[in-house]
Amino acid sequence: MAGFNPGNNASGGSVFADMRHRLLMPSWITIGVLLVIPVLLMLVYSFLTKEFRGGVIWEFSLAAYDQFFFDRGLFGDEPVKIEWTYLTIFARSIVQAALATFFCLLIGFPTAYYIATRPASTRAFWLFMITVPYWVNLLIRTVSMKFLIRDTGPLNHWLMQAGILSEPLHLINTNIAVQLGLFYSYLPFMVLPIYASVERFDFALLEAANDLYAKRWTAMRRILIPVVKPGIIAGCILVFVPSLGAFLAPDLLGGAKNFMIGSLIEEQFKGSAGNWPFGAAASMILLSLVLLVLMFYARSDARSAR
Amino acid sequence: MGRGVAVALSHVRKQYGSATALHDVSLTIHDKEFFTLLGPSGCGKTTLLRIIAGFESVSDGTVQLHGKEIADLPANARPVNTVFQQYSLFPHMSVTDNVLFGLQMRKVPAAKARQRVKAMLELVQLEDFAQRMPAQLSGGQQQRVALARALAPEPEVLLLDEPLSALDLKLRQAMRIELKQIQEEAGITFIFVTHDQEEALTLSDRIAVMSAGAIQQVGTSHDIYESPVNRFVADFIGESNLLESRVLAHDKHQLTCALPGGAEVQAQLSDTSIELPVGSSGYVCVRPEKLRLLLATDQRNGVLQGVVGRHIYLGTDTQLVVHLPDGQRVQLRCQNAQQNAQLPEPGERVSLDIEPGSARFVSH
Repeated sequence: MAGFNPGNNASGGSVFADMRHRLLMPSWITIGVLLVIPVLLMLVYSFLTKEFRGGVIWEFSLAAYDQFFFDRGLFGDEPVKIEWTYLTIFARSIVQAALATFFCLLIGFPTAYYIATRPASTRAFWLFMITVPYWVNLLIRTVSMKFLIRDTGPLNHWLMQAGILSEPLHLINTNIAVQLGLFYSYLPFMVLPIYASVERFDFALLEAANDLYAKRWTAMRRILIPVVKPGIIAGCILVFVPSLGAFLAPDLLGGAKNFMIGSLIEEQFKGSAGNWPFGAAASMILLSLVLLVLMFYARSDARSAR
Repeated sequence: MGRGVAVALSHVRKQYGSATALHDVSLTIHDKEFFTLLGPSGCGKTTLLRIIAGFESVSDGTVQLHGKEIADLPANARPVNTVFQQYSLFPHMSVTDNVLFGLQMRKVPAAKARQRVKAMLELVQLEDFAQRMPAQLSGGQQQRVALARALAPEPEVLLLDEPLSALDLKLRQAMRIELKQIQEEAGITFIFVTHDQEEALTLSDRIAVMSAGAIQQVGTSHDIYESPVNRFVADFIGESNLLESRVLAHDKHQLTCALPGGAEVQAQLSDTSIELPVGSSGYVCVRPEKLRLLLATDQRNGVLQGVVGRHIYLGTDTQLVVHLPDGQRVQLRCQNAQQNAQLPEPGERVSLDIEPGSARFVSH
């Protein structure tokens, strides 16, 4: 009786207290090796001097950050101006990621709500249908999207056959195509967390609101949405953050003019034209932005938990 | 009673697919009445409450609230409020905001609404908890918030769906008294759903006993306990001895009935809407406390003879089971306060008497 018994709080609690640190070791090692060390490496590299064929020279330099924010002319002797090239790419990335988040929420919320309100026996089927496309590699799905929306692709073909368009809608290499790609890639990351919180939602609360003279939409706005907000915020983060750093959709669907930050960073580490410190610096700036978003989440979460 | 009619249901029927949840229910509930729908689970009492609240539509029939037909009004347009079984407090809102919600929805001016919330929280003695979140309250406190929230918009009728069933026994008994006081103070019609007969008997002005989607009997606690109209009510409310019987003679609703063992007893027919011809079969219903054990000193035989089975000690009483020769059993209660009353041992033959005027005859 008094021996090892995880169900018994009195003895089981202390046994696990001893084991807690050992049990956590795999997580500590994983996070340490795969997350903390790479980020520190990136931070160090962003302050080094670039080697022309990729790689770095171990000499401290602020050149990477300088290059990102300031324009000193081709030979570095002109009056300092703000460098708009990268800031524009950054701004475009933020706008694209924000729009992708918005559209994913617009479509994802009703979808998640629909699934969560089906009979329990059919929910698994609908969730499966949401995740089915994700068994196929993202690269392949993005290329398929390219074929689908190109000028001579099936989308334009159908639209013209149906008489809706007289000439093909030019989508490839536009921001709209990138947006479509981002939206499609990350939609399930919006649906799943919202589903999880709507599924736990007690629908009797809507009845109670209804009983207290709230109309259907008022009850949704005042009761359902605030209660499932943690799911909505989690979904928004899961879409916004990877969208911000995405490079497949912008590369394949957006072309050279619709560059996003992810592609910019990717370029710096690819082939001989790369600039590792610059890529590292851009990554650090992106990371700071993401951290800002997460801090905003943590704050609103703490507020709603109060 | 000279009071106005708060809710009138007429020939209400509710069908779910091929299953009928309510058969032709008609009911009149008076103003300021504490009215209880009592029945076992699945009897249709909650469905009936939800029909009055507007969460369920009727398949047939009419629902009137103070003379206005409301069967087609959505729940949010009906001036009735509900206290839900699981309270259903809004978890993201403070106690104040929960109580305020209905007032905001009714567009009550802010200052007046604040005042009303304060008054409601005073009524349920939760003034000090106004800023708490529901999760920080005990079950009994949540229950009171639910009550305050439902009373705040001044509903014409308050519906309570087994509001005490989630509380533990002590709290449930305390809340019963409080509920009755609140009802009297608020001066509102309460329609209370429960499966707990003790709750129903202690709280209600009138009770409707329901079974199988139909109303079996409507009356005061006294009526229902003393004069059950059929076997179901007799059996469901309190404890009853139901003895198979036949009508031997009748004078209006005063019947002479046969008892097992051949004796006769005068029993009253409670259901005055029917008349039973001589020879009809049914049950004589006698409450355990109306059976009297005859002692040797009585020197006569009672109407029932039998053999003592077991004793069950119940604190204030001892319950005695007596087996009749034909295999039926009766229970009786002997007060333990009567120290001199020596209880017969199991296996002893005893003779029982029925207190005059207490037997009732019920048909099947």
